[in-house]
Amino acid sequence: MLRRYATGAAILIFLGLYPVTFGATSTYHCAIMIVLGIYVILAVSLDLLVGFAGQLSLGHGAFYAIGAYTSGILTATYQMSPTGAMVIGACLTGVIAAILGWSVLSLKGYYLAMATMGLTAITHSVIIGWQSLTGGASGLRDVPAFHLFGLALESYDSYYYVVWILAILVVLACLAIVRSPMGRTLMALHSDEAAASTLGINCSFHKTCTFVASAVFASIAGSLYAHYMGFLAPDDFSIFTSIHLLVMVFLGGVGTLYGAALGAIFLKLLPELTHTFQDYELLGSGIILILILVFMPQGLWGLLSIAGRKMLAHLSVQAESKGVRQ
Amino acid sequence: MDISQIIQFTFSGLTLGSIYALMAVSLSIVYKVSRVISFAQGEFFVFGALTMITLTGLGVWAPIAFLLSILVAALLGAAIEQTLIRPVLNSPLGTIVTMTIAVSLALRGLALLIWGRGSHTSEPFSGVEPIRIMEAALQMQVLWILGTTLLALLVIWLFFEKTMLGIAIRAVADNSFGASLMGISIRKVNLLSWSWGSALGAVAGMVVAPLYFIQYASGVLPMVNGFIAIAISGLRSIPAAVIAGFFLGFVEAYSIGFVSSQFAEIIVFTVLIVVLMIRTKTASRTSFDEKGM
Amino acid sequence: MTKTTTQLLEVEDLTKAFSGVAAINGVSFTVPQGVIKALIGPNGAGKTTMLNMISGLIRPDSGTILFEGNGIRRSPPHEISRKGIGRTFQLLRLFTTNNATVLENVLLGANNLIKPNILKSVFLRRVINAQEQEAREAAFETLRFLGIEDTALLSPLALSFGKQRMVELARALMSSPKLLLLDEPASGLNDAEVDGFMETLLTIRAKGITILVIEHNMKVVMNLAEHITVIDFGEKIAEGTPYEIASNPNVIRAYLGDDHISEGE
Repeated sequence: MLRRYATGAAILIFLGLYPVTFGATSTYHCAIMIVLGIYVILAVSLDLLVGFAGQLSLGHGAFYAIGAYTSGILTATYQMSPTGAMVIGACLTGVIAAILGWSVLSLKGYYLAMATMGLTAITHSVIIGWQSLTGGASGLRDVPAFHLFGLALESYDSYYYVVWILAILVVLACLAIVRSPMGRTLMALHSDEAAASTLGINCSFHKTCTFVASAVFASIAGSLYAHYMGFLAPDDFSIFTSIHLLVMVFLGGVGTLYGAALGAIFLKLLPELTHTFQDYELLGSGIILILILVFMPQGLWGLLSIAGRKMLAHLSVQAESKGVRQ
Repeated sequence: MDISQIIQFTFSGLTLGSIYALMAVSLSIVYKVSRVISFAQGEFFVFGALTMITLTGLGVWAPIAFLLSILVAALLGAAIEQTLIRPVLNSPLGTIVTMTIAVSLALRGLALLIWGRGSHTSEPFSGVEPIRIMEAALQMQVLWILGTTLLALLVIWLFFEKTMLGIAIRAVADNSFGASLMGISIRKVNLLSWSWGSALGAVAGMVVAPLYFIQYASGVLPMVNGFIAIAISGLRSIPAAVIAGFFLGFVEAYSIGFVSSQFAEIIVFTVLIVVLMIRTKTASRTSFDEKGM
Repeated sequence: MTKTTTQLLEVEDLTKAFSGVAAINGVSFTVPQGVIKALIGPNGAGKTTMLNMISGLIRPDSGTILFEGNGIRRSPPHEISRKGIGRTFQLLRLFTTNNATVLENVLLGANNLIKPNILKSVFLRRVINAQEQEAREAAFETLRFLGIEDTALLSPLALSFGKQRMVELARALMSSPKLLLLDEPASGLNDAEVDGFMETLLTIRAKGITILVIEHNMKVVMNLAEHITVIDFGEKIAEGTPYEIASNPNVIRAYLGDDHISEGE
């Protein structure tokens, strides 16, 4: 138990001090962390839907887009405050997700994956087609930086905190859901909807709620992205994006939440590591994913857990004998 | 709106329809046998096309290059089924889908390394001058595409109806347990179905390469449209997949022609979602078995 | 003091056809409150379909189903569960994804009492935690009652078939249903387990829970059931007490007779 809090505390301290330590060396490092934070929100919220509720969705890109463009348009064209725009974006996404979810979530398996892929594609096309509103293929320009209560948070240093505070809140929210009786309910409808319904579980309702929650989180990530980039291009919100997010979740370890965060961090850092061998990155990510799926389906998180456990056993037998189940 | 435009769009429709029909059949065969819808199918489209372009570039006679590329794709498909798909066949759906996605990433990455980021095109199979029909230009290649598609479908029909091997594959698709009791090797059949699937994908790519620029990521769009076609056809039969593929091609061609390509994409995916919804609603009254389809 | 028997469940003229073949054809019966009633018949007679219709998983083509006098034919399964009908399945349907344990399976049976949702999980932790405590205690009680409390933290997949059966039963009992539908609960149990199981059913009945059980095990049916309805080929062929059923020629023919074989489907 203490071990878990210790790791969590260590991570929080690291995150809290990052901009003044590692991040101080260059703004680039802070920028990277901001992107990581955004993708952690996206991946973890997708894992809630895919790994826990068991709904294979390729629609996350759509809600990411709606949040981003709502924030972008409202702040750039209508000079609304970023927080207000983010909230409106989240509400709009929530409503759309509720309507779409209610219809589409009755589909299962491959059909659900295809239909949600369709949602992403439709959103993508609407963005490109509605040029007057979104700037179309040339993109949406001049999105102002984030500001809170008049305090401009233009520098990467300060925006970093906005992003990561939200990221941590989202992760905590998802953890709260998953560890509560609701999490158990999600597991039930993931496992066997018919049996779950005979226990009084309204499967359509709970699936839709989870869909909406994950969509709202994606929307928040989109809003954060809009203010980070200052500019939105429709190709950042395509089917490829949805697929990329799904890959992050499975690479990190589906159904663990932490795994999704890890997968997001790994895949986003990969281009940094393979800088000189840029062309090998695609093949590399494919091979790594294949290896994980065949040999370690619990993903990078599973790998880390096993490694961590072995290390602890090596260091102290005491901790191991407690055998605390997560 | 004049006649020549409509004719032009019809030619587009035939072209797109052929590609989508081939992709749909490719996906159908793989699904009916191994119950997997492969997200990697588009990459064979690319591999087929680029392999043929490379071979003809090296001086190989086009028809030979064509056949060799089919062979390469078929072997590639078989190898993938054997080493990568078989281990995850009993995993949850998400894992299977992600595995095929992983395969597509790896193949795309491989194509990137081999052929670079640039686009490639190939020589039309015969003649560069288009035929004029009422001011609409019909590329000769479109006739080749149609012809090859029909030939491919004929070959498939003959194989599955008339050869022992084909009938065996159909038996497995119908009732794999019963088929295995009859001594049919499920493993071999799975392997063959993937080979067929990748070969068809390659044919689609090769036959359309002279009309479009193919680059390493060009396979995704045809594949996605293939998905839509099989979803519309309900994965029931090969002929249904073909019809759905052509239907989709025409819907897209006319939408792009008369409105815009964005509109076409919206229409096409809306049709997909609507068809899926209708099918689920009508099915839900009879049983509560929840395997995806 | 006269004892009026209320009919807890009334099935009237129920019909269901699959692809033109009638699985259930105009069947009617009632289940009085507080009894153990058995639904028997040869394999393929349509008994599970009947249970599926009562619990709402399959929609009947025609007929009525009344539970406590209220029509439930069109109700979705989760509403029927909340009204007080619980069930088990012939081919076990335990939850096994995400490392689910026996305890978690049983706790899910209490969903009607806890009524979880996302907002509560994020904002009302304290309330949830209190309810969760109570539910856990109730779950362990139920597990103890069925003799499997030592399996609580194991995965259901690690258990023997008989114990898995008990887990499913525990799960169904958690919400204190008024009517319990059991689909072949004794199949796969050995003689000793069957005896223990019959005792368990009697105790459940003593708690006021009405039981409708599909069973092939004649020991269970004859010794435990007060009423029996016999179904063959989707139609009711007999109804009555165990004694009446045992001496009914139609029943004997259905199970053993020539007509059954020569009708050959």
